[in-house]
Amino acid sequence: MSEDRQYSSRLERKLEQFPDSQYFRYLKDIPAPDLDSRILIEIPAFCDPELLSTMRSALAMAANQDRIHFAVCYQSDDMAELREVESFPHCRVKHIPVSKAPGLCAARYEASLLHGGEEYVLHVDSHMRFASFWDVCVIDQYSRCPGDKKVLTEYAIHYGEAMAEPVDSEWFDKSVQMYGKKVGFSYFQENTDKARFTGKYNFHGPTPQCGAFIGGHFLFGRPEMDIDVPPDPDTFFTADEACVAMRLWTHGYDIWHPGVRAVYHLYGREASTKKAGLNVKVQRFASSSESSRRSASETPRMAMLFTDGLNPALGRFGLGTERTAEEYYAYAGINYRSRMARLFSMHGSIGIQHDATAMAPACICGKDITGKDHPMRGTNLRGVHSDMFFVIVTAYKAHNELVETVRSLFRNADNPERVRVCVVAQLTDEEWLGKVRELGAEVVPCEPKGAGHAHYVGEEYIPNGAAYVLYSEEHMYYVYGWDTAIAAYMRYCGKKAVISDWAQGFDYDHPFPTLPGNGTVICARGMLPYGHPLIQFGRTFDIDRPVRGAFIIGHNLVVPAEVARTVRHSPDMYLNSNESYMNYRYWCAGVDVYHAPRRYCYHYYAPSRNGSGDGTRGKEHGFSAPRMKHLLGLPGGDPMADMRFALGSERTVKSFAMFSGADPFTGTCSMRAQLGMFADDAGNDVVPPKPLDCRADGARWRSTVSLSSAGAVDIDAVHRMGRKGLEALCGNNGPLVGVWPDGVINSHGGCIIGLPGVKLSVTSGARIILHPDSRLFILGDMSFGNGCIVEVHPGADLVMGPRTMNVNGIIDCWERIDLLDTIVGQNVFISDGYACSVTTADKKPVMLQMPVLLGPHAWIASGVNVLPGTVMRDACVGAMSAVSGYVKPGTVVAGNPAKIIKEDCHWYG
Amino acid sequence: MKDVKYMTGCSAERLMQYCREVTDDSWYDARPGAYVARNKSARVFVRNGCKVTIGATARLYLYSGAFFILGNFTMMPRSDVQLFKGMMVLGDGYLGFGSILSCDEKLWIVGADIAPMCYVSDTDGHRIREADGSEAPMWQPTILHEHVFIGPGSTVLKGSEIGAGTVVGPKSLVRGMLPEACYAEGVPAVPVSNGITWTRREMNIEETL
Repeated sequence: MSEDRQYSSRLERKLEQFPDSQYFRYLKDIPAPDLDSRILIEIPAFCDPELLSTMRSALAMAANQDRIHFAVCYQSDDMAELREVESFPHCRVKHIPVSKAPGLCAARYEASLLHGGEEYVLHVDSHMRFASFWDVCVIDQYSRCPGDKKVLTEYAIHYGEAMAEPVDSEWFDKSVQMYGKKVGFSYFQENTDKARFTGKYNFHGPTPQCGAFIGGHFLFGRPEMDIDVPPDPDTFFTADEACVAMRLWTHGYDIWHPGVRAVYHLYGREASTKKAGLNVKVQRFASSSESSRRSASETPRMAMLFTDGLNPALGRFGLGTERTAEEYYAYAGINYRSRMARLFSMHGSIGIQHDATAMAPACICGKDITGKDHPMRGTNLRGVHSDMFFVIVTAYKAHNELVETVRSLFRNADNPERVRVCVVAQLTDEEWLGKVRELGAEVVPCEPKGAGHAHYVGEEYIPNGAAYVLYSEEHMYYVYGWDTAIAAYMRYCGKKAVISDWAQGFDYDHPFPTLPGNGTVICARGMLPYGHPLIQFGRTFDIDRPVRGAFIIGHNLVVPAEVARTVRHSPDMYLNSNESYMNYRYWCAGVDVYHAPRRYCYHYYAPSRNGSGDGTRGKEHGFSAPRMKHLLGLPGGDPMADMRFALGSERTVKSFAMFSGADPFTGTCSMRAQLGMFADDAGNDVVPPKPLDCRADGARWRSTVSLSSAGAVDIDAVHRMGRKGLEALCGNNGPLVGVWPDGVINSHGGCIIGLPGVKLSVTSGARIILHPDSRLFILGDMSFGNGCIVEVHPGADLVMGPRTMNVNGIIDCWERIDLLDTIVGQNVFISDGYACSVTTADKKPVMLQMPVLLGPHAWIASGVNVLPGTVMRDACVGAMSAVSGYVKPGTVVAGNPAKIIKEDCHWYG
Repeated sequence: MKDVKYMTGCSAERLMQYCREVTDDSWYDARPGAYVARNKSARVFVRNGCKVTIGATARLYLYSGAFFILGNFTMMPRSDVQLFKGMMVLGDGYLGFGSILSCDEKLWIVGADIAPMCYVSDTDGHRIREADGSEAPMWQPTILHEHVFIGPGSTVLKGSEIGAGTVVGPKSLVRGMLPEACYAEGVPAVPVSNGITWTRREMNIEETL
């Protein structure tokens, strides 16, 4: 209470001193100023003579000095100054000598680690000043922003002219601005990938406004911000703003700019210092080996963030999954991948709320960062698919890898609440098992009797309602969205199928090289010696669509729950015999084996950490193999074999030998088995299926195929999988195409690729024109109304989900257009590019081509123009509008150009 | 087409000197599904080696008046060209899907690429009488000079003139004059940036027709 009184009396005095000050009146009007919450000021400092003044200013001008805490990453060799810094109240210091100074980003990271339970954190530079009662002002501004996940940031006011003044000078109180300034994109640095930003475009205070970029020297928020989006210590300087803004936004944080500006920053330090007549040498960058290492790693890391932000190699410093990179690009009007920016990004306006000239897709451009295009990845799929996964993790040896495996299963699932993990523990090390339990896994004790037994025990615990069982091991790493990917593949493969994959290798001591690549076909290298019916597995060629194979691999096997309950693992079988035997067993039960087109997990292959090296191999030959022989009906079998796990009667082992080429009766593997080429029951080759290619050079292609049952569509998986995944998903038999009289599909070497069984009907008067190498993906039943024209230009992809195109719609696709589960009204025009390329007066190309991503769940009313760069889901566009850019989910936009007319509005039906 | 530029202010008689009047069907190339209707009172004049290509489901109506073809003009599927009366000039360029050209008095498309869903006209189609009995003219000439690009969904009203090399943005409304070599957009369209240049992107129009 005394603080309260003290604050109000101090405020009164200020009001007497500055009777005209809007700032102090604004402070007085705050109904219940927050004077208790502690604020941690995180300062990365590098040989900065301004540091002490900055700290003094923050402390002296605060309404409540007790709540101001400091975390300083001090990179300097001045011990006297260091002692002075340390003498500040509530100050935690991390000292790094100049010779080892790591640079700005790493210093920010170090400072953020010094958090000690404060309610708010504030990232600033080491050359800042503050106005009186800045803490009350900042917290009030922060609380005025709606929502829970938010940050407050801006480009603070320049204080060059008051540099030499004392920190509590009147100047700082008089210069407070009662209006906000948006942060806008400024320019791309020459010859680098780095974007620079600046404060631009004033707006009326004191209400804060939403933006898309941050100012690195003033970033205020809750400490969760540092946990979700920690500063990346492997970058150096410029990565700070561009990357952090994008990471914050994709993690679901809204970026706000304060409407009252009470913080100061020193820009152009060298020039300002000179101007102020101070004789101090300003050093901007460290030149230590640490800093040069980071300087070198910055560019590739930024490139990876911009092109493949969910790459596990980025660790905690990647993008979030709440929103996608594509959405950010549309929202902010800047594309780091192509180094282009739209006009409105410079105004600091955002998304759909832009002004009238914003449709001019003007811009600045440079080289592409990577020089190649990248598949689109990742949408927020949380809670979308509803399949429950039951994961059986066999643990033989206690180590940290087990914990990492379980953590990745939960953390990287799109739908973690639908994942149940059961650790079959063949060990009794409570230290590790406790950690696993903490993560949410169930731990089941089990005697160390080999893989078959462990799987058998795990199967006892399959819960009701589980859709799939995933057999895993203790040294795996599952990538983002593994569950969605598997669910999509399983739906593709059907109910009597299992998916198995030779997981990509990795090493715990090194970061992941890249995302897991294409899947591969598993082949048989040969049968084990001594006449045992055991297969030695290997990998052959890469695939890019789900392909039927013959062999499973034990460390990564996905089985529908009903199959897992009926075709159980035999506890008789040890490691390799387990894999071989399950091969025969699945075959004989009529279950087919498929391989996934993209791998979704890593496996650690180094033998030293695998837990199988202690004598089980011997037991395997002495124990499992004879029993398997008995079950297979081979001579020399052990009649002790458990007949509950005998082979099924759907197919015979003989037909397996014919199909796969691996013959347990003769102990041989054919060349076909070694190449991974399998023949079906009728002796026909089972080769990777090709997409339907309705190539009809020059001639008009017409067909009147009769229609049959609809296929299932997994819209959810589509966004995630990108171009290759789409092909994989759609592969096989292609869609059933129905063309009405006068409907035309005119393909000049383009192809239509559809999910099996999906219907595409082209009514009379509709035309589909496919240029060379263009592709039309059909993911759900589609029909094109009368008078529709769809033109897909060379090399472009048009992806369409269920629902129809209404009459007279026109789609002009130059690069990529998605219409997933989108309602389209009459006379709608959708394009992602123009038939012209424009250059500005100063010979810069204008950005006119940007992908259009509509849906899932978008509604485009009649007469709308959907322009390049539109990204929307779960939103509506009113009739006769022209829409472009990012449309916030849950809004209705309308007008020319479209503006938000309603928020928090959802449609059904 | 350079000479045409100097002719945009000239009369029908002058234009006729450049062209040859045709009575047969040699002046157009209609693809299967295209529709051409020509009244006897409509006269067609063609410059040497020029023609109109009419894509499938595109329609060309000539009721009366004079139809000048000064370049190679392509009508994409589902586009319409309507000449009710007066004089209509078509130069090099194309008319996108679902776009309409409608002429009652004087509509000169000296050279323009017109994107899908556009409407370009020199007429209101009806007379409007004010309360005081005055009438605005029903027709006013509309001229699109060489190398103009009209963005998708745009409308060009009567009495407009668009300078050479100009690009009109999407879903815009053009009324009155637009200068040369600018990028204009909005309702009504206003120049946003000046001194631009543009080129047609590589397209295989033949495949589209």
